[in-house]
Amino acid sequence: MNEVIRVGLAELKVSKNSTVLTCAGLGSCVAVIMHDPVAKVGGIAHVMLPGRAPEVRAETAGKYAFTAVELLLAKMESAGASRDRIKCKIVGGSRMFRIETDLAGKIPGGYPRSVSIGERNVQAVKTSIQEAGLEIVAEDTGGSHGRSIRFYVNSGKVEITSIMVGSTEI
Amino acid sequence: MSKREREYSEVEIDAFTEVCNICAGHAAAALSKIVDTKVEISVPVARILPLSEVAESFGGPEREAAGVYMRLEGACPGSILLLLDRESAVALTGYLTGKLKQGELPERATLSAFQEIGGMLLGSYLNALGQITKYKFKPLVPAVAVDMAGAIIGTIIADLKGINLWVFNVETKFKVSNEEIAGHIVMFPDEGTLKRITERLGISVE
Repeated sequence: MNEVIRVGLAELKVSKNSTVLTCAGLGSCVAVIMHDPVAKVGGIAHVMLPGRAPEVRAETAGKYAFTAVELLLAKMESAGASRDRIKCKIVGGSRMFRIETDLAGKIPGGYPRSVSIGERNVQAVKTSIQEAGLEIVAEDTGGSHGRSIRFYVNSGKVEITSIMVGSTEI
Repeated sequence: MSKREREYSEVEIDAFTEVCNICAGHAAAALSKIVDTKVEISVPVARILPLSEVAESFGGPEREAAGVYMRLEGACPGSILLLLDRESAVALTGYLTGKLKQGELPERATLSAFQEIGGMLLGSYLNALGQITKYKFKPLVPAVAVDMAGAIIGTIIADLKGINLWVFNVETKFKVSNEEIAGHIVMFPDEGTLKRITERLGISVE
């Protein structure tokens, strides 16, 4: 049986060959998935926030988008992946909470971050991947539903499950 | 061990969990009035735990949940979340909208009803807290989500920017005419809020 490694909130993990990396219950968070199909190296960063970490701590290396992409790439390379072959997939970045809007259609005060954090995470992740010179080959982002993923490091296949909109694969 | 953790002394934790218990009792009384039926309440289990462990305590990040989340303003800023399992959310909403079919999820219209009744429960919880502490807790418009517990809580963690934030988690079971409603009321005090509350309770904290 394949070894299954869970990547929790703000974590960043890289593994090889027949392992399966998982993230459970992605809401506004974005999973950055990197894969080298030749070296059979794969990794996930469970990104919580856009921007860059003020200080890097090992247990929360995946917390901020820009820091997470840089560290994940470095970790992929030290595990034997080659930058030229690494392809990225991104999943998550939902708008989880529904808030009643006022008559003018504006969102009432007090939730400036919670309503947009998913979208801002997706944007930040895309920018940082582009800046790292990598390519996003597939994505399943946005919407208003939570997602769980299983990433098969051997094949690069990512299974996405959700309660609200069913399952898919990228 | 995070900085946050050390900020809470045993005395503070004991006092605040006791207060949480009283407030949960008030929420049960409010529910009883709304549904016009006797509501029994089990002794709530109040615990302090890191925000990142709330999903585990709820039964895992992939467990289906319905949440009502409110930011609190005023002298004691913070946030509060009511998290129910699917069956409980359906049962609770049913008291306002009429019964849904077995296992049916609240749809958009009934989601508003859930938001309403969840907001009322949290409101009475906060009223009780206000009476005890003589502070006014001003909740903003409630936000609602029905999805995986981990996705709901993860979004709040991102919103509050704190993975190591310690929160008060009150696990409560209401029994309304043989139907059990099990839920968690999670309170996330902002920096300084807990100190202000415990001071009002007459607990001196070193």
